[in-house]
Amino acid sequence: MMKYRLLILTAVMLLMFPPESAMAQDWPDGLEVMKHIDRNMVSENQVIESTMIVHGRRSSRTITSRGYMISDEKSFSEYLSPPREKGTKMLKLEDKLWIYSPSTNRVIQIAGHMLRQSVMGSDLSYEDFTEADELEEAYDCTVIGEEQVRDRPAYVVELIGKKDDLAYAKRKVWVDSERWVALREERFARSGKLLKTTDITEVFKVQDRWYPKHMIFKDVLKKGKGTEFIIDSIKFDQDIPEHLFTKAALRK
Amino acid sequence: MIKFLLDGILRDRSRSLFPVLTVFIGTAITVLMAGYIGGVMPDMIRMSAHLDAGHVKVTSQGYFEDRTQMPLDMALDDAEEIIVQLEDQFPDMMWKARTRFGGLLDIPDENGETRAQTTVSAQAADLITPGSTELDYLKIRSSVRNGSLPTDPFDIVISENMADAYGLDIGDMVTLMTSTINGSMSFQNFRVAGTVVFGVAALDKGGAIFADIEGARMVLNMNGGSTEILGFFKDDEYTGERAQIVTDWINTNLSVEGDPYSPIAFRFEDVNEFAAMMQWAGAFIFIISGVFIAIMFIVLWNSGLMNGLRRYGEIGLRLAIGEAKGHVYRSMLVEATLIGTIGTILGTALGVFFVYLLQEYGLDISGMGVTDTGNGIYYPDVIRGKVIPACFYVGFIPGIIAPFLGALVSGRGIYKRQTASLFKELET
Repeated sequence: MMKYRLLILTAVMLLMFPPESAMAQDWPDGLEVMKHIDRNMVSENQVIESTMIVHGRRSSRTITSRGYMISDEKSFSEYLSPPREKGTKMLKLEDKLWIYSPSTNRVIQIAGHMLRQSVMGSDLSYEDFTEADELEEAYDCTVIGEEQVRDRPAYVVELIGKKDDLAYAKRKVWVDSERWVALREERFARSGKLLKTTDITEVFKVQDRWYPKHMIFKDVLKKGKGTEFIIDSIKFDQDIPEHLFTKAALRK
Repeated sequence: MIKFLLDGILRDRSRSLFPVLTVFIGTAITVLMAGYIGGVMPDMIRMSAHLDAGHVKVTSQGYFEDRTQMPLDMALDDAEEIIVQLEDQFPDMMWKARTRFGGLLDIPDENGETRAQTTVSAQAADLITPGSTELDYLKIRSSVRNGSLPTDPFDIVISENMADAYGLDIGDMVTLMTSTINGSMSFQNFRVAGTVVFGVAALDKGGAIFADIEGARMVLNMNGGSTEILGFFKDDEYTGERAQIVTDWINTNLSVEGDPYSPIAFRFEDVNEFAAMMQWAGAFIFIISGVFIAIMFIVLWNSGLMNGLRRYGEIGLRLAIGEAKGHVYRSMLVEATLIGTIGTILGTALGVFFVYLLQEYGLDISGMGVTDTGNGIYYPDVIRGKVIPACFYVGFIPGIIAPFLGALVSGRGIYKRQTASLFKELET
């Protein structure tokens, strides 16, 4: 009987005070991991040509666009095809978003709960586009494990929101521990419900940076097969005229 | 004996007045409720069918499955072709394509910049074809407060409340931002042709707009399509049996099992919660009768006990002079039945009178905010009763049963009287 009591006591003690070797994993600091990602992703500016394939229940649509971005603060995109979307432009200045529609010749601001609506019927919301805060500023980042994602070694980073008004209260990001690029992401509501997933199925090297090439976004609450996002080309640190990031440029 | 008892009832009012009054009021209320249901239900069916459900509703299978979300991508592609088929098959019906969709209405300032925005729920129907019944079925024609009816595919009608809230005038241009059937972003400028006041809280307070179906089809990129096809009997008289024949034909001949885009048809009562409501209405008269039987039974039982005390001497004397207890008991039951009959006749007359008034003049409840239940069931703004055959007989059920039951229970005291002590009791 005494032996059993000793055993139970030892188990409880181990659970409450695990040995040093069990607690301390050889993982980097979460913040450090996110800064590694930023070194790949963030540049003075970017010019991206991309293709978005929206797999709806009824059909799939392919939308091509060209985007100009200065850090996370400013972006200007123009849709190039299909004909129905051609000429539609979007301007994002910090957390504000405007859309220009050539058929009505109107510049319309997207605000409030409209930001949660889907962009072009995709699995991405305007809010996803307008996130201005850098992740490490908005979230507490902690590495919580190591896993293999599509045969790549990855740290699992948990991001817990510091503020109440974030679109996603929690995120989990699987980060390639050698290339420092995200391979998978899950976004959660405050209730803990999974809202969106992103799978980066292909990465490529551009000017010494590893960058996502092919991504699949999925709004878990939406029927459909998700939205593919393909970076056709990306150029860093280009000479982008400042006047592009004005409402007047939308009508041009 | 009946004449004897009747004389007693009429001459000794203290014996009959309270029970007759009880039966009179209970019966009048029962008849009034029967007439109210008889009048309101057909009006409710007509209005709900016109505004929302149709006598028969056809949607795609996928749309019906997710109908609360109004999934535009599950609309019927070939709605116009289906309508041609249905018009050919059912000449006693008319078929109307309707589409519901949501969006953002952007109101520009003088420079064309966003001045205000509001989310809207749009209802698209044939509003501009001459002779279309949709303007009447959707109550638009009778509800126009300012401006005019739509004349162009890109005219819209909005609620007066919305016009006031956003400072919109007749002729103003607004931009509707929505998604097409394929999920693409879609923008369209519309002209505010008129404003409406429906008297239906959900339509007047919410951001409801009405657009022509052809304009909506262009915006939503759904040429010839619609989210719903509503079928209406041309005589506007709905019965579940008639609708069943139509839905059976559609579901047998047009529906493809497992194909979410193929059509599926439902009767009026199978949409939303109508079936339960209609069944409930059918049982309502019996429920009301039951309730009043219970209430009046308790009141008249008590009244019978009081009478038993008051008529203690009379009953004792009758027993003392040799009348059998059973005979006294039976005479009490017959007396109660007579009282019930008198009360019922008077109560039915009053109830029918009130139902007639409700039928002729109606009761305007539009200001009470109860004309829309929020689940697709609409009550008319002015509720009207109807003098239906049931009004003339329904009161007799509680009106006669309750006093009879009251006397049946309270009269049992007669059997507890001891003949040996009767004379002693009478002496006191």
